[in-house]
Amino acid sequence: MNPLSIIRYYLNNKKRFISIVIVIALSVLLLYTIQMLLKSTDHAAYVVSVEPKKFFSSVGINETVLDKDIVNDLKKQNFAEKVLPAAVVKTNFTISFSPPQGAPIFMLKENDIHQLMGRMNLKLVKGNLPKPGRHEVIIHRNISNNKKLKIGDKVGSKLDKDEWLEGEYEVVGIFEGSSVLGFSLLDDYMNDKHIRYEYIDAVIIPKKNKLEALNNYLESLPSHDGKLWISTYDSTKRSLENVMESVYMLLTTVNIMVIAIVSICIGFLCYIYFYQRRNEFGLLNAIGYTRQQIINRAFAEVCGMNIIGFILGLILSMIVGNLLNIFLFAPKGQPLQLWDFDYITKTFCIPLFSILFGIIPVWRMLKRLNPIAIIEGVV
Amino acid sequence: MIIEGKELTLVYGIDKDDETYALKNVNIKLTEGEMVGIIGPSGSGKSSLLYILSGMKTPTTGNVFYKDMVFGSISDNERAKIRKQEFGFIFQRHFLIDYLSVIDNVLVTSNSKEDAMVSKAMTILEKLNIKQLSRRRPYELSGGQRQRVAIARALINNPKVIFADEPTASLDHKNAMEVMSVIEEYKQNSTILIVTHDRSILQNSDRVISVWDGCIKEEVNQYK
Ligand SMILES: Nc1ncnc2c1ncn2[C@@H]1O[C@H](COP(=O)(O)OP(=O)(O)O)[C@@H](O)[C@H]1O
Ligand SMILES: [Mg+2]
Repeated sequence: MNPLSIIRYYLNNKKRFISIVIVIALSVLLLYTIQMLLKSTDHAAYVVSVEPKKFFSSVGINETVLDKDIVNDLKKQNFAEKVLPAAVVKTNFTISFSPPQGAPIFMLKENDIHQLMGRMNLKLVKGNLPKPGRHEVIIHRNISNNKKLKIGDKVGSKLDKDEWLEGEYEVVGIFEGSSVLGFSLLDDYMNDKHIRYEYIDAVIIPKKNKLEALNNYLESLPSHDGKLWISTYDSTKRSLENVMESVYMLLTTVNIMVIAIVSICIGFLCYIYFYQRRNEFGLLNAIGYTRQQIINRAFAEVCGMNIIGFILGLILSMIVGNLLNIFLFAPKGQPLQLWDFDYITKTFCIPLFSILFGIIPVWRMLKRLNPIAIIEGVV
Repeated sequence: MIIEGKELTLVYGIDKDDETYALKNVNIKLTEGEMVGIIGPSGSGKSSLLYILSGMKTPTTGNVFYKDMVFGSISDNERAKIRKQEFGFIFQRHFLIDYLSVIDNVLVTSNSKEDAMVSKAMTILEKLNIKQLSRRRPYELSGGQRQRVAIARALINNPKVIFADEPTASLDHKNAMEVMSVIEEYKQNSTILIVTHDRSILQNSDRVISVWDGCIKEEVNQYK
């Protein structure tokens, strides 16, 4: 290994090398974990509200049954494949770092549940579909984890007055898939509520590739004095974004603060370390290394430490993320998003700015390097 | 003739109204294979002359000619390249890099660990009687040993010119004489310029030039 290679420097100055690498790695870990927790909160809310709307849209009129004319009109539109009568209720679903959320339970007719689940790629992994007259419910695995519900358990406001789901339902099936929700039977629900009319709300399944056309049509429906509510992919996504906006703003502030503090610290450390080595640089310049060669070497040293720290930080983040997931978040039905391109771009700011803050003062110092003054010992 | 300084003047503090003439119209010629001593009291301008002749400092007026090159008309980087490939430097202080072993310090000039370079370095260390210390770090050496490593570093590239500024100032007399005898061995292949205020180390030099207040005067070598 050549005497002036950067690896030789790292090996012979382990404490300095490690101190910088550790600072970078730990701050990458911190930033990565913060991104991961928030993104996962967002994602947990996303899969209960927005994700289902990739497969269908829903429409209803507040406090009353859905207007027959609207239903007929919907059926006539050539982008709607099916219009299913439905009612949507919610069950509490706690998401860490988020205000209380509800996961939707769709009340549908017996055959429609089967059909919609097929459409949404939801696979029953335990139990069976609900049967009429028995107040049965099937739920996504994340909900069962989140609420600690097993097959045969009962859930509802009759048992727990804090529960949003009115009445009492028995869990008879657990399914898996990208959307997090539950299904129960519309007939039981209508009997309880003494509703006679066929449609209370409607779930509209679009024909293939017609979701956007359907949603455009729904958005253009007259508002019926504001009583008509429409829930599409765009509208649910927008309202989630509104909720998350302030959270992301806080996140950006935290990111900037962490990045600023770390890069200023690294800048100081680099300056101190390089300042202590000015005899070395003066000698090298005197015996014929150009300023540029000396600066390039310093630059390579700073970059190397930052990149090694960054990679180490990513490895630590993956380990910590997996551990958090296995022991904390997956059991709560809120699995973490371990990997996202966003995490990399955000955390990469740490080595980027550290290199910048590390190299600029060193560069200024080396630019003014005066080997004669160093040799004469006046500085 | 290998290196020549013509009408060299160096003025410090020219823009500060506090002018110090470090050199006044100095002419100096060195020929291949000679060892020249430069002697004079502290502050007389010896180091200034060495820095100018080696291309580390630009004179206020006058010019330095090295082989077929004129220092005043080549770039900093070109002068650096000449220093690296053709000159060797020994300073009063050793300027060893503290985190590198002795052998790595010697090889810093070429920044190479090829076998040929390593064995050449070991030969020089052997001549300097410090071969057994090659794996040690500078802080594990005595002052005299450190200066020998610095000398080995200056000799490793077979320099055409060796510039030594008070190379023995930090050594006791016995060590100083030993070190000088190693430097003198390189006389056949190199031109050697030794700056000192200690006449006794110049016993074997071919010429002695004395510097007084920025002016030079050729001396008769009393030892010859
Ligand atoms: N950087 C400087 N600024 C101002 N004066 C200097 C500087 N360096 C040297 N001098 C002056 O130049 C003169 C010659 O210095 P120098 O060549 O170092 O002498 P020597 O090496 O013989 O002791 C001295 O008077 C010294 O004070
Ligand atoms: Mg001097």
